Amino acid sequence: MRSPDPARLGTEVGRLTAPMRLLLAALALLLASPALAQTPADLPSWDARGDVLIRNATVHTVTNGTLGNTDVLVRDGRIDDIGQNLRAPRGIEVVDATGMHLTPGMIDAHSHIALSSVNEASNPIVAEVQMRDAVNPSDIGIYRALAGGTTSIHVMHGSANPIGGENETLKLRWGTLDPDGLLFEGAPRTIKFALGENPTRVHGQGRGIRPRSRMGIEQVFREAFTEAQMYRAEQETAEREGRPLPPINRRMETLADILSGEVLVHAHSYRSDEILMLLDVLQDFGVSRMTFQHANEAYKVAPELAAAGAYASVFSDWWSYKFEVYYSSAYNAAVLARNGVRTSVNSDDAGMIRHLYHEAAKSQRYGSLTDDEALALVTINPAYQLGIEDRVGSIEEGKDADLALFTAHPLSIYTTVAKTYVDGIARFDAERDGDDQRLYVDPDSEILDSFANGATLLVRHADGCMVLR
Amino acid sequence: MLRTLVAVALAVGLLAADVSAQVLRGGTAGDTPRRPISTAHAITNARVIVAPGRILDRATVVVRDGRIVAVGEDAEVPFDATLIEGDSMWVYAGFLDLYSHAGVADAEDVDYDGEPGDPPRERAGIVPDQDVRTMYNPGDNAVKALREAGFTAAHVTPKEGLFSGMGAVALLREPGRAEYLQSIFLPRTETAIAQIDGAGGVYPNTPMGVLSVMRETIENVRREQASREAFDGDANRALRPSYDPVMDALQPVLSGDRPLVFYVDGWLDAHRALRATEEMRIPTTLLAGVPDVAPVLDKLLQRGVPFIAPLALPDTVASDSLSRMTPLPAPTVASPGGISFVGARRTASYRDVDTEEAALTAQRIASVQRAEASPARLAEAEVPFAFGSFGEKGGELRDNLRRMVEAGLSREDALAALTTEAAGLVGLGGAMGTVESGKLANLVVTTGDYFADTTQVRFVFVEGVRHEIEAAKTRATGDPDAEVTAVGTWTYSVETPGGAQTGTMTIEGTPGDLSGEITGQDGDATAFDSISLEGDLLSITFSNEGLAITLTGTIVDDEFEGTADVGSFGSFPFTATRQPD
Repeated sequence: MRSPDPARLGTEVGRLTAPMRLLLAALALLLASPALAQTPADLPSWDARGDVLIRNATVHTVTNGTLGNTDVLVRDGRIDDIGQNLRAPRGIEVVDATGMHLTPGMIDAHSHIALSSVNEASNPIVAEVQMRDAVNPSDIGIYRALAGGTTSIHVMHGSANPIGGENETLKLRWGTLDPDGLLFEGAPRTIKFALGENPTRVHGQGRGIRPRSRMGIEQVFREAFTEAQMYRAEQETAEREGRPLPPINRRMETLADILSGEVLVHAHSYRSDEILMLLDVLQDFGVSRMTFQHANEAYKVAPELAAAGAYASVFSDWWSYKFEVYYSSAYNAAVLARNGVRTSVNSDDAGMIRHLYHEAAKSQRYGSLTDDEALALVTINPAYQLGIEDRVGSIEEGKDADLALFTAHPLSIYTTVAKTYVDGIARFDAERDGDDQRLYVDPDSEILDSFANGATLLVRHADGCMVLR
Repeated sequence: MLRTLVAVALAVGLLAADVSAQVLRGGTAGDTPRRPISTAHAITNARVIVAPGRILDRATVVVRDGRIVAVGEDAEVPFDATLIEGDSMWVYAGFLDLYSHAGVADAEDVDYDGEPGDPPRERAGIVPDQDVRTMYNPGDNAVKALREAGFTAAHVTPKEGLFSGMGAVALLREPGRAEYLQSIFLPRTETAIAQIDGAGGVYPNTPMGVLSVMRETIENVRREQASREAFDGDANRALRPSYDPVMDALQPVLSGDRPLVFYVDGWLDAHRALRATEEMRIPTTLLAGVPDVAPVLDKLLQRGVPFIAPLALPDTVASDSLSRMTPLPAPTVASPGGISFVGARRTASYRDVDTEEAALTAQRIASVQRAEASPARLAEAEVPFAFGSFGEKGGELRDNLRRMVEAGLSREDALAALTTEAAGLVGLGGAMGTVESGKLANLVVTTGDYFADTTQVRFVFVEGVRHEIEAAKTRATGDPDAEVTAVGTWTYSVETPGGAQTGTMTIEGTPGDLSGEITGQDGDATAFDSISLEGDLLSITFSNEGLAITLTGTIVDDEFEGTADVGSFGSFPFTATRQPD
């Protein structure tokens, strides 16, 4: 039994009196079929690993080209075999994907969903705070991202400070209320840096302290790193001499870990001059693994970035929301990619994260990237930037079965996501998609009247990472 | 009278200061205990709930010098004992509130207008050295309300800060003659309190900032301890130890001598707190405060962390015809809390707010039910747990307990959480929690089953000090069908902390059109602003010198009993008697 056609019902409901509308709504509840909908309560726990055979799909491996009429066998959450006419192990679920397209799950290198706080904005350097302490597994944004084929996200500290907190890489294992269940085991530590208007506005303009200018931001970095070197030396000397360790300073610990290469830098940046500035600073201190986030003017310094081995994570076509992002181009991703810069396209937003494949496709309209180049922008490239490229980002034997199954070519405007797998578990399934996927409702929850506040809710005014909480 | 009442209300603070003088004089005013002729009490022929599940149907409890000295069917009643004839009454061990703010003063605001990134530790909330025993007022109304609900001891805690200070267990009585205030605290019950409490505008401002500061603080206590030990061994090998109140307050936590009680307001912070305490290698953690424990229950079990469940509950949510038809899924193994999810719902259009609201209402009701069932779930999973009142008003506690019992918590488990389990969790199992010889004479005497809503608490003994509990306040709702008249001249008496004030009031007119005035001891009359009588419930408002005063109560024959509510000054018992014509 299928539910009544919502669209038709909607137009008819409009003409009914209020009591009739209530009655009809009640009937709609009874007519709806609970057997079809997947509820979060049905979802396996976060540590479950799935087994499935996806048959006869067009498989976009991203790293090894596109394979027609190909089967992908998933065992215990990993891609076990890729080939034609694979034998289905006994009892395994078989999904007929004839006419459909299978890609690696989308990876968003810049997100702020699933967080209960974003910015510890009280100090220009807060390297010691960690987004893993702010992960909120019940954010409905996770489910919406899954519905767009996204399987891993990089939840970042905000951009209020030159040096923000440590980010966290998550797998979208929707259905658990344990925040630790979402952590991407083994993903390297990364940290948020921020250049330009945001930190100078919050600290310089807002509080009359450094940094007040782009020059000030550079000095914040140089001083902090120098202090961290001294701190680490002091700790190491005490350890070597067998003396009690001096007091710990977690801020300095993290900064020192950046210098030793343990923590990857992800820097919120826009202008080419400030990008070069940070490149200089990091090179002076021997830091080599860095990703420039947003980087709207990165196309101007693409050769320099490529030479330094720096990465870029950009918007497809979003700018002019403040002065420092006026000089932008939709060709940014394509120019960077063709100049040898490993580039990703990110969302920074709970809305855009639902169609990263579409954002990637824009690089074909603006820059004529190939299918693999375009898909790499939202799969293997962000995986490299997060240091998880050996686990996800492409369809290869041995990798995690984080997959998105599309109804049409993933770069087509007509495509939709049919199923999204994380560790071989279908965490999103369009066929079993109920209307309400909230994991947890508090006793005092309210209906959000988005029509009264529609304009303010639906329009983005600034970077997602300037949420001051 | 009115000016007197106001003046009295204003003088409450001053009067409280006088109490100590009265103690020294052996004064008799107010609640100050006099030296009794004998400290012996006997409750005879009562149903004694010795411990959860252990009941003596007809026994006598004898108390002397603050201890229970005999419990039994044949216990001898000493000649000098004050008697309570307990026939038909029930005697419970006094309850222990394991997380209370009753009587605890707010910490003083720390003035700081320097850079928000580097506030002094007091402003940042790193005040583990703040001692609740210096912030506690045993005469506070909240303490009285707790006692009237049957609580005889409470683990009271400071309210603010991430390491907000030291909690300790207080006996819920006022100090006796020649007793220090601090002596109502039980020794060796100190705890360290942690909570994810941002400093508000300065560092640390967010939960992640708070957790980072906690980790650093704890690690540095460890390092300072190591440094002190190294210095003691060879002064050349370490810096000289420095005076560090943070270190001194938290070191006992790391050595396992003092539990860390971590307050969190929801399941999400509970997960974070459990992870943080594990990473900080805290030997003994108690988690406190999550209304719905289901999402974190497995982790509590795995970690072996005991739990202090809030006696506060969310307000009930009224259902309507549509929300009653909204199906909710049953709890599953994967989701022991019964994750609130409406799988079968189809909202017809974005304009169809009714369906959306009905679904939300159904989910909110389920959410309230989960909170009510949370203690039952803890008992079922055999997680050691007790109750804490947190900020909840004493008057609500019994109602909430009843809701929890109705939601599946057995009376025995509820009682254990209030008595034996609670005492065990703070190392007081030998001193309280049961009605047994040798225990502190902390007793609750009721007219019946504590968890029944008609039962009244009649007496509460705190370390042998008898508190008679006035019969429950006048029914606030009254009886709408009663037929009484308010007309007449009444003499009234209002109980204020400064003593009883008396006067007269006259009410005239016909039902629906009443008026009147009230006259104080000074002879001045004030007309009522409003007066209404619904059934036997009489409400009168008037104002005096800018203060709005409300009298509310019920009339039975020629007696009026209720309260005089003087706004922020509080409520005072108000009684009146109609004079014969």
